[in-house]
Amino acid sequence: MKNNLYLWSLILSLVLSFQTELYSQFSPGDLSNAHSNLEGMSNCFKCHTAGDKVPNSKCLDCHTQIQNLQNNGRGYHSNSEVTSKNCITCHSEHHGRNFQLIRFDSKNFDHNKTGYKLTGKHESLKCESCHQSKNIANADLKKKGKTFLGLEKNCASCHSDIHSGTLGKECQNCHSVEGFVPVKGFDHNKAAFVLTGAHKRVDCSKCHRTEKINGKDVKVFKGISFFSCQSCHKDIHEGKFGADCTSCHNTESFSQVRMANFDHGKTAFPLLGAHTKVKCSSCHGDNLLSKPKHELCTDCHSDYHSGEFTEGEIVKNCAECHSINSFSPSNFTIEKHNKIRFPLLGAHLATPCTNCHLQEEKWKFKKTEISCISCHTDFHGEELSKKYMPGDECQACHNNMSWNTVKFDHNLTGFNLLGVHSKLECKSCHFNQESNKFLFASVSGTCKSCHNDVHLGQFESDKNENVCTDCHSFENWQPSKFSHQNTKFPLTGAHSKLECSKCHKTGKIENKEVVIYKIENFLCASCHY
Amino acid sequence: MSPLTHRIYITLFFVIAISSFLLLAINGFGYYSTPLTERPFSDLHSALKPSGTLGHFLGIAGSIMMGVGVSSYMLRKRVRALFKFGTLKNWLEFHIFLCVTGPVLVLFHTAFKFGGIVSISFWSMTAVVLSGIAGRFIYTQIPRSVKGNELDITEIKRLQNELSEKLKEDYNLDEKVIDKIDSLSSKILTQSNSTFTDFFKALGLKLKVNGEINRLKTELLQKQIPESLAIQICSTAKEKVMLDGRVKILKSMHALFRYWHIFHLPFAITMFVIMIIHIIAVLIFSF
Repeated sequence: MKNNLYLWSLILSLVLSFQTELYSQFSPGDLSNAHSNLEGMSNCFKCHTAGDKVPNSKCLDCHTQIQNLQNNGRGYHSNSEVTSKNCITCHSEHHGRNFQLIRFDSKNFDHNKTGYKLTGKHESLKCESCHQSKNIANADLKKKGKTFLGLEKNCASCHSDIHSGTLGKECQNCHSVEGFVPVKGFDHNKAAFVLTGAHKRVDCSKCHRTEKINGKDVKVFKGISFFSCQSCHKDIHEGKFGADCTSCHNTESFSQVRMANFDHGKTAFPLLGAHTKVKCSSCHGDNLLSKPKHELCTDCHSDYHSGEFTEGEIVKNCAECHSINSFSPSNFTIEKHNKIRFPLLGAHLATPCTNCHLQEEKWKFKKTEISCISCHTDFHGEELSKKYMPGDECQACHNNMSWNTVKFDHNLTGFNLLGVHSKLECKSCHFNQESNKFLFASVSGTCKSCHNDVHLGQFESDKNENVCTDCHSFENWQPSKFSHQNTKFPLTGAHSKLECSKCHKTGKIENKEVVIYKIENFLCASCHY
Repeated sequence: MSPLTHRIYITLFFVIAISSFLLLAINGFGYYSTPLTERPFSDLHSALKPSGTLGHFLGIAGSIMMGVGVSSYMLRKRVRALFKFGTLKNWLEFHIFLCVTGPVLVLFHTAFKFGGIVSISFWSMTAVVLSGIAGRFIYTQIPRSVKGNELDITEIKRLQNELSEKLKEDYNLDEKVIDKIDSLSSKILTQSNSTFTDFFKALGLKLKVNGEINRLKTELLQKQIPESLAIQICSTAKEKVMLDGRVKILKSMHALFRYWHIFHLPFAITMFVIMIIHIIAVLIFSF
């Protein structure tokens, strides 16, 4: 028996000597890594209470974050189902260093018990999406790395505030957990700037621009100036119509202009004269916002003159002739006309424009020819030799004052007007009553061509067509140039005292009574019987 | 206790021990085969962990069984007043039953998690159980009476003679066969000076005896001895050869049995001491 005791003592001593620490003899297993600092005999009662297992109070003495959460009624550990349990029910220990003190079943975890119900998009998120150190504000918890503690219920706990605090912290007032966009909770009608008309259809970013705030690109929603349209819209009128765009425009469409209030006079093309009575669409078409060219009249008006006044491709200024009040009458004055190559002189001053410029019901102004016959009919036709119309100009005889006032050097014709001829009107010789024409070429220049031969051919001579001039002068019809002495029967004696009719009796030639001057029988008996 | 009652008694112990082991093993295989760090998350953890509803019960039950098994046997063995209560052999069998089944329950109580001071208790228990099996073997190698009392050398000699006489007279075997049976033990087992060599010889004794007896049976049958008679002869011959063999290693077995005692008991005491410390620790820390 004595030997037995020795052996037993030896065995027991050997077995115990293998144990490096007495503690390990009592510990049912290694503590997990999280609690490894509590290994050791002296630490047992830091967690255990004799006869009372591991009271929650011991756990919470160290786990003050949990204690705080419970005190504040927050988090999963404040849920009644959890508080009714001992800590070690879920977080048992002494299962080895690698034991997961927290075995989190993310698939079956009821997040409602945390006091933060996962809804909407949050339901499909992985735990790590929210539960990560960067979302934890508490510095101590942040150091832990992997922890489900430390998140706040407010959105900013996990979500970065892309508004950089400009819209406050109540994200849910606008956004929902169903998705950051669309912003279902936001009603622009409750904003200071109520969206109307086309504003309802405009993308938010059109008005809510991105600005740099604290080095971040932030879409600005608050503090946007909207009291004038120019806050967002560029004033294409460059201030000419004032600041109140609504006086003409409405929010439905920029092109729906309230014409009653529109002052075209403020545009670059003030409406004057007849333009004030023209319908908008005549110039602007269907789109009042269209900006028709207006530098040239032809930008709107067709060129009635079909390029007559076009130099190169530019139509000369219509205003030189037309006024804005009406296309006609033209304000192309005589003075202006007189400055062109065909000044209006004489009768042309009183001539209606139509006489020269309205041809075949079409006004024509640009004339290549300005000769008289380009307008006037050559009344004389073949009767007037071209040598008297140099350059088809009539000025050789006529002037601008009147057709009837003819100034012509008749000497040029070789038929000098002498005596009574110089006192006669032209028409006395040149106008033919029957044909109602002036005859020139047809007037041969012989006496007979104008005068009737009252002598019925008694003095005709083949040698001299103007045999009349042998007796008559141009002063009168008295035969002043006749001398009976030069005849075959010179008067002598009593004969020289006799009246002509004593000898020259009335006879008949061609059954016409006529004084017979040509006496062939000079016998005395022929008179004295 | 009649042989039948004894057989039922032993069978019942065997069935209870084996079925306990199988039921607990099958029931908790999923849990026990789970890594230690995963077990707390098993649905069976609350029941099968050492402090669980079933695990704790197994620990208490197993401890009680071992306590009762050890103490009852020791008391019966050592307290004279109790000598009259049953045979020591039956108490030993009861001791073996409790101290095999109890460790089985404790084994499942540990949930196969061996650590800390209580592991000393567990491994001491294991040593006690294994040594108990060895002790039981050594115990059986020492010739005993029907009641289990150890036979002295005179009684052994008389028993050997009785068996020889039985072979000669009851079965009318000729001298050659008798001589051969007498020489079998010498053929099978040679005397050695080493106690432990004799232990290992004892381990193979039964097998070798069975082999020789089978050959003897063949010879008997070849001599036209009826099979039923041959079986009876072989049975007696086997008893005789085994006894002869055990007599040859009796000294060594006695020595081993002494050693066994100073091995078996200290481990048992160690087991109980640590177990008590373990119980105290549990009560204090309430794991």
